[in-house]
Parts: sequence; structure tokens; C-alpha cells
Amino acid sequence: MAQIRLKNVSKRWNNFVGVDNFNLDIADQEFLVLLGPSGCGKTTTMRMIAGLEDITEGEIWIGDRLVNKLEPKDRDISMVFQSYGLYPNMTVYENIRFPLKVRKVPQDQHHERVMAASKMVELDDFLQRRPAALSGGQRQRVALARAIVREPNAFLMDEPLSNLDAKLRVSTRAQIKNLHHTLKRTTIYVTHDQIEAMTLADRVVVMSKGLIQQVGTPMEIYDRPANTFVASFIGSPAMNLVHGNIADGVFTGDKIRIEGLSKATNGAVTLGFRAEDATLAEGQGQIEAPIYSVELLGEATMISMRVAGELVSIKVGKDYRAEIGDSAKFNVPPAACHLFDRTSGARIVAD
Amino acid sequence: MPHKTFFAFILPSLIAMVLFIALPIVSVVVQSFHVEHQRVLVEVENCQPFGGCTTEVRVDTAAMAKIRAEQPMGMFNGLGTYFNRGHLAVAEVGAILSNNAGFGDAVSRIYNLPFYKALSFTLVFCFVVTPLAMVLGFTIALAVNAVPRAIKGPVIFFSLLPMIITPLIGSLILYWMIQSNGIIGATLQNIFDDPTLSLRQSPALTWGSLLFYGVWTNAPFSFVVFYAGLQTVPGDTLESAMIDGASRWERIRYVIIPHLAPLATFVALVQLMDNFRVFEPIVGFSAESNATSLSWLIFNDLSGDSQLFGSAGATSVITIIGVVILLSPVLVRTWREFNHKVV
Repeated sequence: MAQIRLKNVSKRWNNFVGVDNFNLDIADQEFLVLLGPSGCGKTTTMRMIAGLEDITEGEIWIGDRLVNKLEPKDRDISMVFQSYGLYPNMTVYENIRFPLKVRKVPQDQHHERVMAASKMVELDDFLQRRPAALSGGQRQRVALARAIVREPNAFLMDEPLSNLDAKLRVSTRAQIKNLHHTLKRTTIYVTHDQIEAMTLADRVVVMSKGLIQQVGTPMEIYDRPANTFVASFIGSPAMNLVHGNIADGVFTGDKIRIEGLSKATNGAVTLGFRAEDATLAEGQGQIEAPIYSVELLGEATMISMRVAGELVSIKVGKDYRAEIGDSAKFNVPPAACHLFDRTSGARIVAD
Repeated sequence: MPHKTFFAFILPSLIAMVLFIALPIVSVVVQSFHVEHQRVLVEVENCQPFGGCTTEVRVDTAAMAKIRAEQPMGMFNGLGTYFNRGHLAVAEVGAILSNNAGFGDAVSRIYNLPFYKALSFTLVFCFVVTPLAMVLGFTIALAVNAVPRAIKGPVIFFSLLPMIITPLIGSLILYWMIQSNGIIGATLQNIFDDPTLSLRQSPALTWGSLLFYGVWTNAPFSFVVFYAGLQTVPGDTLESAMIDGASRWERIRYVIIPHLAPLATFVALVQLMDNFRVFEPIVGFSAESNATSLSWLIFNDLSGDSQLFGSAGATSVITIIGVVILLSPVLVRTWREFNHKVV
């Protein structure tokens, strides 16, 4: 059983702060995704859990053991790397067997366990090949098999899908999800791809500049972003953010006026809404602006228009037809609107 | 690339290789088939006013000069030089093999033939020094890779010192140190409490000192190559191994050594070739009474008054053949791997 606890964990290189005061409890068997843009400290956090990076400050607990000073091999975790990290001179079979070999697992168990792991990731036909003779997806499956063969308490995955092409990414993603369901091990998964985070995670940790921005289930993060950073990072397209003023429950800005919002807040705010929440308006619209671009997506059409200085995206039906420059009118239901503090970017909680 | 373009591209190198490598080798081979002219002797009657006449046998300088001008390479001797006593000594070896007092006697008598004496030391030097120097160089590379950045520079400089020093000077330095009044020689005498102990006197100790010098002077090359190689070891694979549970030694054994194997082949090739031509330490140590090498034989033929070009040529050709034989297993393996990869 492995809960993983990080208490006030920090990583600094001289004056540069990689991870700042990171606190998190990861439940046993949880699938936790660390999400953020490159340089946000997510990989550093994972490497500190793995023991590949020293911790400047704080404590990391795996199960009931403080692991700060433990070697990576003594932490009972396994890791999958973005660039696979396979042993090029060994066959697939030997690669998968390697952890058993160096950990002195009794010889008679090796074959059975290697075969079980390779079956789980469908590698049975490639066991005698060298990694050089495999495709990227097959190599990553070897890395997965090598990680699961030892049956550790926790898996760490560092952007395992980033080197794969789009199609393989989808199928390997499903495979990882299924493995987690079958094996029921705590999994920490690092990615900069919000779709991977949404599809895989039990809980997502959104990070930026070494700080946790929000922790929550994918739906919480999507529906109630804690600040403008999370709002603009999650979703495709990202949430529209428009600057304006709110007074007496009415948000006003250039080419936009929305009524019926919370009356608790007054003054300069940022209003956010998702592209799919806006609807075509009959008569007077809350947003009224000339169309900037029209993009056909197949299942829908994406319109963008300039509102209060920002380019705003709106998703409409696939049958919608308009030309660039035509004026268009839209409504946004007040319930689908999010208000953020203009200066700090933090969510304004309506009460 | 079309063959024509490729040919034009390598033509300058090809010309240089023919001029500076192929032609000299051909000339050495041709030279090795010739021996020096026999001296033309004349009887000269030397009469003096008092005391009558005496006859003397003298070298006819004029006639010699004429013959030399006609045949500057000397007399054609075919493979004679190769088989004579100073080289392969076919007749002598045959005689020893057909008439000896047991295996040990045969070996020791063959060993006393100059060519076989030189060949034995050369081969021992090759096959002892090359692996030891590679192991030492690899160990130094691993150590340097692990030291903190601040002291890396000085450590690298110190490790390269044996390669920077001219081989002859380096061997002279070590030679002075092992003299009975040198620091190592005196210390050894002290430790073993034996004032007559001298590394130079016993053949075994001389060989030991020469081999020690060989390892010392060869290790930096392996170090430089392996150190460069260590910088290219993939970090992900090393970290995978750390997490998979490999100890430091197992990481070296399963990740670093396989990664450096092609480099090791290269180092082994270069050093085997180098060590087969061992020469300077023998001169530096004045060790010729206990240890000689093929290169030393060539040097010996060419120095002094009698310049035995034919003999030196024959030894050179045998040395070249030796190098080819030494390298052939590695070359064959590389070739097979190359073909294997293409397929």
C-alpha cells in the first residue's frame, strides 16, 4: 500500500526555484497527474519522488517511510521515461527481466513474470528483438512492461506519450488507463498535455512556475478553475477571458454586456466563459462583434471575434454559415460565467 | 553519391596515401629482398725501400663504388634474408626441433635466437600492456567522471601527463627512478633489505619495469577516449537502471560497458598497433640485454657503421605482417557487424 505524501518540498538551484513549498497527499491506488507547461517544476517534483533529484527542503513519505535519504532503488517505485531508457544491447525479454535480475529475485520466477508483463502490454511477438528493431510505441510498451514486472508500490511516468505520434498516443493512453485499473497501484503521471490529464487522472495537479495552482478532479478543474492560469491552460480551446467592469451584477466591456451575475463583486474583473457555453442570440445579443475567423472542425464550427481587445472563441453548430466580417450575436448564460480578480487572477467565489 | 563524385572526393587523400604509405612500404619490401654487396678484395703489394715487399688484402674501394653505383640496392637475395639466422632462422629452428633435450630446452634455445627473443617480448608487451592500460584508463575515466567539477581540470591534466611527456624522456625518468640510487630503486632495496637488489639486473624485473612503464604511458589514451565516451552515455538509461535496482557496478556492467564497447574496439586496435612497435622504453631503460623488440632490431640494424638495410627491411616487413595478423580478428568482427547492420 503506498500513499505518497509530500510535505513542504522545495527544490532550488542557487537562486533559481524549481519547486516551491509543494504539499500534497496522494492516496493509495490513485492516478495523479502533474500538469503544467514546460519549466513549471512537474518533472522535478516527480524526479524528487523517484530519488533522482535531491530535495532542498521538506519531506517525502512513501507509505510509512521517509524516503528523503533513500536510493531510488530502495523506494519501491518504478519509472517510465519519455525517451524510454531501454538497454539497447539487450533483447526485449532481457530488458523486461533486468529489474528481476539485479534485484536477485529467484531465477525460477523470472520467466513467468516476464511473460505475464509482456502479455499485459502485448509484446509477446517481439521478445527476441533488440529495442533498435522496434517502433516508438513498441519501445514504450517495453518500458511499461519493465516497470510493471517488479510489481512495485507506485509507478512514476514522465511524459511517456510525448515521443509517440497522435494515433499511437491515443491507444497507448488507453493501455495505461487499463493497466492502472488492472494493477491498482498508485500512479504519478507527468504531462503538459491537458487532454492526457483529463482522460487519465483521478486527480490533477496544475502547476506553474514551481507552484501548485489547483488540485482537483478533472471535472472540478474544468468546471471551476481556481485562477486565470488554470482557466487558460485547461480545455481546447482554452477558456475565453475578457477584461471589463462589473457593477450591480452587470458585466460591461467593449462589445459585451452580461446581466444577472453575482452582485457581491464590483469593479474591474476578468470574465471567463467556455467556447461551447455561448449560444446564438435572436434579437439583441450579449456579445455583438464582427467575425474575425471561421474554422470548420467537422463536428462543429469555431467562430472567433475580437471582444474587449481579446480574441474570443465560440463553438457553434456545424451548419452555421457566416463570412469573415459579418456581424454576429451571442448570449452567454450567467451560470456559465466565471469571474476572476483582474490583478491577482484568482477566482472570485460567489456566495 | 555517384561513384564518380565519390572518387573525385577521395582522390586527394588517395594520392597522399599512395605517396606516403603505399610507396614507402613497397620500397621496404623491395629492399628486404636485397643484401649488401660482398666486399671486393684486392691484393696489394706494398713495397718499401727498406724491408722488401709485403702483400696486403684490402677492400677495393673503387670497385665497390662502381658496383654500388650499378646496383644501389645491393645484391638480390630473394627471401634469403627472411630465413637467415637474424630473422626467422628456419635452419636453426629446424635443427633445434630435430635435436633437443626436451620441450624446455627447445624453447630456451629458440628464445635465444635474436628474432624470437625480440618477438617474445614484443608479443608479451602487446598482450599485457594493452588490456591493463585499457582497464586502468577506463577506471581513471570513471573516477574523473565522478569527481566534483572544481577539481576535474587538474585531475584530467595530471592523468594526461604520461601522454604529454615524450616517450623517451618518460622512460628515462622511470629508468633513473629505479636505479639503485633512484627513489624507487633505493626504496625497494630498503624494503627488501637487500643492497644488491636491482631492477635492471634480473630479466624478469626488467620486463616488469618495462610493462609497468607501458601501462603508465598507454593509459592516458584509453582514459581520454573512454572519458569522452562516458559523456555520451544516455542519462535516461542510466536512471532507468538506478530505479530498476542496479548497483553502481551493475550500471557500469550493463549500461556503460555495452555503450562503450565500440570505442573499446577502437582503443584496442590503436593500442595493439602502437604496442607492437614498442621501442623507446627499451632504449630509455638500456634494456637490450634482457629485452628487445622488433622495432629495436630495426634500429640496431640501421645504427652504427654497418647499415644493414636489407635486414632492417625484412624485419620491417615481418612487423607489418605481424600487425596485420594482430588486427585481423578485430577487423573481421567489425566487418561482420557492419554487414549484419546493413542487412
